[in-house]
Formats: sequence, C-alpha cells, structure tokens
Amino acid sequence: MFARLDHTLASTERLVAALSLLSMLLLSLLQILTRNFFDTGFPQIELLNRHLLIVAGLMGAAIASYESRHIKIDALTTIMSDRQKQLARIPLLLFAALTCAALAYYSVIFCMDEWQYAPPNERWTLPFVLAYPVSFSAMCLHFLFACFNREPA
Amino acid sequence: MTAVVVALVLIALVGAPLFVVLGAGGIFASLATDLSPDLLIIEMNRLAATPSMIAIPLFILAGVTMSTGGAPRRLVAFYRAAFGWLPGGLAIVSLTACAFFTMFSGASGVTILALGGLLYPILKQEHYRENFSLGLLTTSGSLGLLFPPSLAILVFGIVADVSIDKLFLAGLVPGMLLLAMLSVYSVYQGRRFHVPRHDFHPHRVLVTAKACGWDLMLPVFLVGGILGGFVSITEAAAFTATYVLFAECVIYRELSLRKDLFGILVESCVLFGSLLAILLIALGLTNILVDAQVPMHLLEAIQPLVDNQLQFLLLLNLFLLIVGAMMDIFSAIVVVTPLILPLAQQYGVNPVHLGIIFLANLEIGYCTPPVGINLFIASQRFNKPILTLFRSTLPFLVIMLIWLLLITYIPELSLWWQDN
Repeated sequence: MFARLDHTLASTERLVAALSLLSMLLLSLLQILTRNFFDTGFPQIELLNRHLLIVAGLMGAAIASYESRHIKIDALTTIMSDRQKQLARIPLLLFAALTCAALAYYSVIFCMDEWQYAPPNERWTLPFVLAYPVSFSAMCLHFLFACFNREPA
Repeated sequence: MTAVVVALVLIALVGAPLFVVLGAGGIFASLATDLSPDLLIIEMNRLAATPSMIAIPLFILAGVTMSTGGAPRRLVAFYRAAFGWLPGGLAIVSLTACAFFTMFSGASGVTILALGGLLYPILKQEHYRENFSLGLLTTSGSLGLLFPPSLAILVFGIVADVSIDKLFLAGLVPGMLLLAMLSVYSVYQGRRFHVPRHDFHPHRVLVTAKACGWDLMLPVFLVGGILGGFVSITEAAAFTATYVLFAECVIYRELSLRKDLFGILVESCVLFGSLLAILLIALGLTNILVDAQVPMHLLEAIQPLVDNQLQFLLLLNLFLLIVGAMMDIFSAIVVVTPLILPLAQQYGVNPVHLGIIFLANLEIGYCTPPVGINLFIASQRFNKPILTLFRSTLPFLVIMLIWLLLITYIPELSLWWQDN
C-alpha cells in the first residue's frame, strides 16, 4: 500500500513540475516577444515566473527524493561494505524524514506570516508559497515510505 | 556545537542527501543563535527571487533536450570530419565535442555518460592506447565548464553576487587555453604512437556541418547575444531552450513533442530540484553563518598565517582542489563561496578572477583521486577499475595543474577585457 501511495504522490509531483516548467518557458517567451516586438512587458509575468520556478524546483526535489537522486557527498560509501550500507540506510532515511518534517513545519509558519503581511496586490501569488510546506511534506513521506522498501533509497 | 557539526559531516559522508544535512545544520544554527528557524525559509524564498535564477532550469532543459536527442552523434560526426586529419585528431574531436556538450549540460557527468560511450569505442578502434583514451574521456567530462552558458558560472554569479556577463567573458581565454594545452598533448600522443590519420575531405566537412548546423549556430547566437548585450541571461536561457526543442523536435525530428516532451520536462525538474534544494538551503544557512560573523572569525584565524595575495592564492588552490575532489561542484560553490569571498576581498583578489580560479579548481577536483566524481562515473561507464582510471588521468591532471597555476598567477588571462 505504501509503495502505491508513494508512486501516486510521485506521479502528481511529475505532472505539477512539468506543467510549471513548461509554463515558465512559455511565459518567458511571451515576455521576450512582447518586449521586443511591441515594446511592452507584463511585470506580473516576472512575478509569476519566480513562483513557478519555486514550484518546479521543489516538486523536482520531491521527485529526486522518490527516485533517490539527490546530490550527495557520500565519500565514505565507496569504502563501506554492503552490510554497513544496509545498516546505515534506515537511520539515514529517518533522519532525512525528520529534517524534512521540521522544514515543512517552519514553512507553514512562514506561509502564515506571508499571508498576514503580503501587500494586497501580491496576495494572488500566495497559493504558490504553499509549495514549500507541500513539497517538504512530500519529501518527508518519500523518505518514510522508502524505509518500507527493500530497494536502497 | 562542534559535536553537532562533526555528526552532520559524518552523516553527509555516509550518504545522506546534502540538502538534508544542510537543512538540519540550518535549523540547528538558528536555534543555537536564538533565531527562529523559519528565517531559513524566509532566506530561501528571498534567494529564489534572484532574477538570474530562472535561467538555471531553462538551461538545464536545453541540456537535457540535447542529450536526449541526437546532438552528441551529430557533433562527433562533424568534429571528426573537421579535425580527424590532424595527428591525434580524434582526441581533439573528443576534447572539443565534450567541451561543447558540457557548456549546455553542466559538468554533472552527463558528458561522460552521453559522449564517452560514443567516443570510447571509436578511439580504441583508431588504435589510441587504452590508458590515454580513458584519461582523455574522464578529464573531458568537465571541460567547457568555463564557457557560456555554463551552469556552474551561473550558480557562482548568483551565490557571489558577481556579474554573470563578466564571468562569461572572463572564462573564455582560460577555457580555450586548457583546450589548446590538452590538444597539444593529444597531437604529441598521436605522433608518438603512430595513430593512423584520415584524409581531409572538404565535402564531408560540409555535409556533417550541414547536418548539425542548428547545433553549431547555438553558441554563436548565445555568446554574441549575451556578451553583445542584446539579451539578458534569462532571455538567453528561454531562447536556448526553445531553440533546442525546436531543432530536435521539428528540424531533426529526433524527439517527438507528444512522446518525449513530458519526460524531458520531468528530468529537467529533477536535475533542477536537486540543485535548487541545496542551493537555497545552503545559501540560507550561510547567510545565518555570515550574520554570526563566521567569515570574520576565519579571517582572524588565517591572517597571522598568510601574509600576501600569492600565499593566499596558493592556499586557496590547495583547499579548493581538496573540496573539488570531495564535493559535487554545485554544493562546493554554494557552501564554500560565501565563506571564501570576504577573505579573497581582504587579500585584494578580484571577485571575477576568484570565480574563474574557483571553477578551475573544482573542474580539476572532479578528476582528482581518490574521490573525484568523474573517476567514478567513468569507472561505471567504461567498466574499468578505479585504479586504472587514477593512472590514466594522471598526465592530464599534470597539464591541468600547470594550467591552474597559469590562470591563478596571471590574472590578465581572465581580466584582459578590463580597463587597467
């Protein structure tokens, strides 16, 4: 059941990430065209793109957690035996899940502050800020689900 | 405090994702300095709003599209026709094609994976010695790091708050110098081992150039556009991604918008996401460290030991080579730059020159034993023991170290465009 939930979560993240990046590309192109050919531009596009960047990146980071593709230093793993790696795996995953849960918690506090103090003309972008708690929670879940998988994560 | 730092370093070394280690470090540092940890998220959100940041996912999208499509094959065919007649010609082909490809893909090992597999059998078939071929392809994996629109330069510019246009300009001569030095060594090896040469056929060059015309024109547009001041970095990135997608899907028809676009977008997001996670969290953490005046304490510690700029640069080179051999290039940039930058300024090092020295060291660190990441990627790709790759890369490392000394102690190679 955990594997299916993990997979469904990752599929949703893939869809959101791909749509965000595609929108960023199309909006950037629209901005170039309007600026160069019509001598005008939309400031909202820059603002929207900055938020899409966060959504695409954080969703990408969540998929990287699912696919175990995060950047690691892991200099010691080259000299560790398979058994030692296996022993370290669960504590590392739990540590990662705990850190992501903490980051998600502090992101919620950040979102509440943003909601309270954002200028009225930028309030429409606030749903995008939810990408922080949502993606850190998703990363936490991926690391937790990976504890139940036999494959190294 | 020290115990927590040691524990976190150990956790990183046994394979925890770097962003997790940095995130835990950031939360701990905030709590230890009586700050609220949500400051970390506030800093992350502020840094995500850096205007040049949008260029990163778009250049990654261009790189992923090129590596998924047929660009590596087309480029090798052209460079082979153009340089194959030279002694050591195929080695020069490998160097040039890898440098070209890394410009777009970033030095993330994609070059060795995408081009290494294509070039290694050809080099063997043309009687290049195995050790030379392996060394050449392993070191080529990070060539091109100093050419526009290198992602490493973009990230350094954002982290150090240095003009990205100036960094692009500064990287051109050092990048070409390294390419020239390695090419001279390849010609020497080609002569020494009597590698057969091919006849030069202008017609073949024309045919292959026509086949990869869209690929070849891209750096011309980019370098001209960015350095000529016609487009901003973000506009150049959007243009590059669209251009490459158009070329691969419409002109060459190597990819299908319907079948391949989704996968390419997702792959780009994963690469960008893994980079963004460490970039934002590391920058949030280093801002907290800067607030706690850690760089100033570092400066106080090294000032009695280092008297002048020359000594500082030598020490910096040694330190960065070790960092480059231990850490991924992007992690190294985001973690180390904010700590080094104030020190370098104190010793009168130009921040643009520092950027070039920084990236050159990391480029070499990538191939430096025992843990240079290129060695592991090449070992996996070519199915060779790590020790064989250590031996193979040694002559190339010596050349790169000479190059590093040249660009470190002759700042004019990077700053020739500056008045006085």
